[in-house]
Amino acid sequence: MDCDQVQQQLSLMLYGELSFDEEEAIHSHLASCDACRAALETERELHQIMEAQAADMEPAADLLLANRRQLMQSIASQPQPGREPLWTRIRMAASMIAPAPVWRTAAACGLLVLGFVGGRAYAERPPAQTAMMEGQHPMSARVRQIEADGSGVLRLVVDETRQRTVVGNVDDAAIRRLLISAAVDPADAGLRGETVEILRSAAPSDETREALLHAMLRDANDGVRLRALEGLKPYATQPDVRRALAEVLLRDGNSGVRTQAVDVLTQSRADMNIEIQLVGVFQELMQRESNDYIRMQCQRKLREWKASDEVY
Amino acid sequence: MAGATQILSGTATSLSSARMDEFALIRAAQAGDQSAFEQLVRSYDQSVLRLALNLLRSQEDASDVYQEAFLRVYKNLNAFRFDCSFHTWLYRIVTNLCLDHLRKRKVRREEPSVVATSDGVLDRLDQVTEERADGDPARRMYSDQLRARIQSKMEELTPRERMVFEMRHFQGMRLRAIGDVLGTTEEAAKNCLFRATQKMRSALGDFQ
Repeated sequence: MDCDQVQQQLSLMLYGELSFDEEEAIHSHLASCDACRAALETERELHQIMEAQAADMEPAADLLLANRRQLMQSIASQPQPGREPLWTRIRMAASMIAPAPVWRTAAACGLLVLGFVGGRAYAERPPAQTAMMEGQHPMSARVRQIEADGSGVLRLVVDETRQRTVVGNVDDAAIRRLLISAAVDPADAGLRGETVEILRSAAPSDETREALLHAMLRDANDGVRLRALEGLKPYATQPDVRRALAEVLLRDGNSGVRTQAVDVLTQSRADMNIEIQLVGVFQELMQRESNDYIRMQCQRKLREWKASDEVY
Repeated sequence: MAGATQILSGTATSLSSARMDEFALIRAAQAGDQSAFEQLVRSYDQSVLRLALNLLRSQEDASDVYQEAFLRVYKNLNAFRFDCSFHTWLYRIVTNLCLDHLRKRKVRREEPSVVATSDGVLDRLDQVTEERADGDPARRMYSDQLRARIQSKMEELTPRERMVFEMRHFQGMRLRAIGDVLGTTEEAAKNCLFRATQKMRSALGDFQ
């Protein structure tokens, strides 16, 4: 393999889209070629920049929710898709053969016969083995185990998820527990955002505060983290919340979230023993923060505390 | 062996469990269960919206694609016969809609560089400049210039190249799956990605 061939394949290698042999040939070449190793570094840089861009492009929770609502409204105004219901099709076909009164008489006689025969057949039927209740079809099912005896009868052990409706207000313990589990649903940023929004209005409690802290520090979605941060305002003077806000300031990649964090920290006042811990954080931010507003807020607070705001 | 109980371990069945869940949901939605359809939407709509936002960089266009795609799914769900995965079917609809938007835009020469995020309307490239560990101004300037070059090159890609590049890079989809979605072979998707990455690499030419 020459340098041109290798450099053409580098990107596909980083995507993991080359065969074992192709990748092996490239690695052999790289071991003895400085130029291609440099090209690989450049390629890696391109990938990293694009990945950083991808991480920031998670759709806003509000946008997702608005789209869901609009979709459900549109669907509600749509006719049920698919074919006409069976009964409608039978009626349409029947009306083409004979007028309605004739069919009404025939249908009444038919029902009488059906009731008589059906009743006898039902009485002779063996009892059903299934425990499933009518109208309680599972939303999803997962087969855990299958047992088969020689007679062709199968015994399936099934985990099932069923849907139920739970009604109550946000301060009911059962509702709050469910909300807190929804607030960490990894698959659904819209649901997490909606949940965090509701938890914000809940009466202050340790478990609500923990859920909001978790969302502010760990949620992948910028909008959810921002809402969680706003929900933590009533707890802003508590030491662990202030420490978490400081962590957001130092680590969160979104300048909007960091701006909100610095506002909450600078607009609330805690015990001086706690505030003193923030001095180092604000001084570090003076050196590394790229957002002018956040630096200005840090500088103002440092001066208020008579601490150095020098950038070394 | 006659009469003996044969136990199949859960391991084999667990492999297909996710598919079974989805199968049950689709079947329920096909039978008219609205909540099953809503659950299906929720399983996929975040990635659909992300793909549309990344490709179209317009909140309005991405929302149009979202609405149109899921409405088409709703109207045609009864025709879905499990010939391919639901994900492939849905993404086929979404990518066709996005391609239509991109082609129309190519004609109009209209390419907004901003996108709506939870922070409000932001420029995609400005977002990347938030690499905070990198405090060196010279390094930051280098990165900014690099990103500007990448951005301009992205706009030079054909809609299909851009589609493949976005699905591989931002959605993390394998080329085989991209080929399925676009109704082509893995090899054709690979060639398309290869052309796209060559164009993107040229953005780095002066920086090496």
